[in-house]
Amino acid sequence: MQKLLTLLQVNDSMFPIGSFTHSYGLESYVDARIVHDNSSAAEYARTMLEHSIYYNDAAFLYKTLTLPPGKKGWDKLVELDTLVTALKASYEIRDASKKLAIRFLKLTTELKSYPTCKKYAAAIQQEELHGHYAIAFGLHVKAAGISLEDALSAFYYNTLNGIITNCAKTVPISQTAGQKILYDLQPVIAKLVRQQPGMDEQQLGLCCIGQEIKCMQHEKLRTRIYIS
Amino acid sequence: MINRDNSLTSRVDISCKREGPKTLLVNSYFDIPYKVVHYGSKLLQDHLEVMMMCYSPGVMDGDTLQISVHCPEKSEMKLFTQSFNKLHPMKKGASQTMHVKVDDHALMQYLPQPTIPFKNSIFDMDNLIEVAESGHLVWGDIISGGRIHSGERFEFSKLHNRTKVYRGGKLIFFDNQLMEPRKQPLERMLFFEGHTHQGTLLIVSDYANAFKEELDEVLTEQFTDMSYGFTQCGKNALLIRALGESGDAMHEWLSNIGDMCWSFIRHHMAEAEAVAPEAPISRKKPAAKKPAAKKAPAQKKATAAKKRPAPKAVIKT
Repeated sequence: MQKLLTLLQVNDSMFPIGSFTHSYGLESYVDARIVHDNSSAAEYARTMLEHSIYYNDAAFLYKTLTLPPGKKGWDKLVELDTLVTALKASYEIRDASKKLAIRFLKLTTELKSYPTCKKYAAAIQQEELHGHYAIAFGLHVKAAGISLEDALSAFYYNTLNGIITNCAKTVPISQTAGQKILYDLQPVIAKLVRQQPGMDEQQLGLCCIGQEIKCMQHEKLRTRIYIS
Repeated sequence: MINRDNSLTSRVDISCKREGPKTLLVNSYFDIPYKVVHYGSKLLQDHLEVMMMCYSPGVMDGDTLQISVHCPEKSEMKLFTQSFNKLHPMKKGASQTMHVKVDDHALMQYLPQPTIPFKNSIFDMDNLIEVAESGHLVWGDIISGGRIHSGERFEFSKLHNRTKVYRGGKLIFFDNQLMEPRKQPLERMLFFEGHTHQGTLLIVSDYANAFKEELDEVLTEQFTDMSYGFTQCGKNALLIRALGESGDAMHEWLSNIGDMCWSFIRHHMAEAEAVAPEAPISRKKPAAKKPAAKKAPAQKKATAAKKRPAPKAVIKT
């Protein structure tokens, strides 16, 4: 019960680490009128989950959750942090990942302090490592004893929830339509969680070029309400 | 080398060296069907310009190509390809690996002609680029969705392109692009979004951030049929990505930006070289005067270059 409640708390979209300030390129899509109604919002959400999150943040989270213990694990974490930094080409996206990681670690350490989380936070502060949210989240939930499957499912769910909330605010779509997309994509999340351990190593960090360009274009949007 | 099944295993090695103001070609090994030649007269400029040619119709099933390029200290090389990289229909697939080394104070530019994957082609590209702490790189690639005007649109089987860039031994950029039209909604949102070509230009240099500031002023509007974005993709690294309809137009546009960046980097390198030996002797006036005197032509060059790419791309696309 304690584990479930911890997961619900740290994975909440209202967990005050500032995740609601990022759209990860969605704002550019809305600005270009590509995402403009219920069906385009649903397509965006589904494609994001299946072709971007699965190979990127969810895969980085999975890698963190399966890190070996001890020094070997730490070395792998250093390697992973460098790799994720090299993969997140768009400045705003890379920076978003760092900021969320710092705030997440700061806040969760106040709730319950774990040595690896503290070490990761210190390495980010000393600029030895860049810092990424998926890794920070993975370290905390793993230390809290939450199962791999629950952590992944929750992570996918909250990412999707963020997309839907942003769609409801910016497209806009109705709250009911948003909740319907969220509900309809449950089987997709279950499928992706099931497939995650079998993901081809060569596919780690696959890039969706259109999305990456939209993230870059966000830096130049004339009016914007999101940081990324 | 021709294999039993008629496929080709080929290797291309290129290296150069700096002698006085000039960069000379040192090693140029090539197997069939490739050839490495000077691009025009080698006396025209101080830097080295070489072109990689392929005298076969393109990449066939089972072909493998291994390219290695080395730019030692202070050398300056522009590498070109002569023709579009045509990937023919395949069953097993073909592959290409490229290993590039750019040493300290060396400058290398490479923007090959677009890759065109024909129907049922399978291609795997692996690029490993090692740039020294003070080396400079201008690197690009363009991939089309197929022989669009022949009606072949995203009918290839698989194209996987991985580019890893290390600077001073540390991984700073990793581009992992997989295109499988039968498994991904490639023409839809998040991928090509209705366009048929994608292009990438990466600049790794101590002057990349200063160059980005120039682009911030120049690239302020989107083109009618090309969508682009650029960002600081790492410390001292700039990435430009574009989606468009024409491989030629995109190649010309990215080449213009690449050339502009080449001149920008060279100018700053010369400026740094001129200032460096004087710095320990006289720290005050002469050191301050030198860059100021050189700044005027630099600005001219930058503004002249600035005007070029945008109108060209607009007309072409």
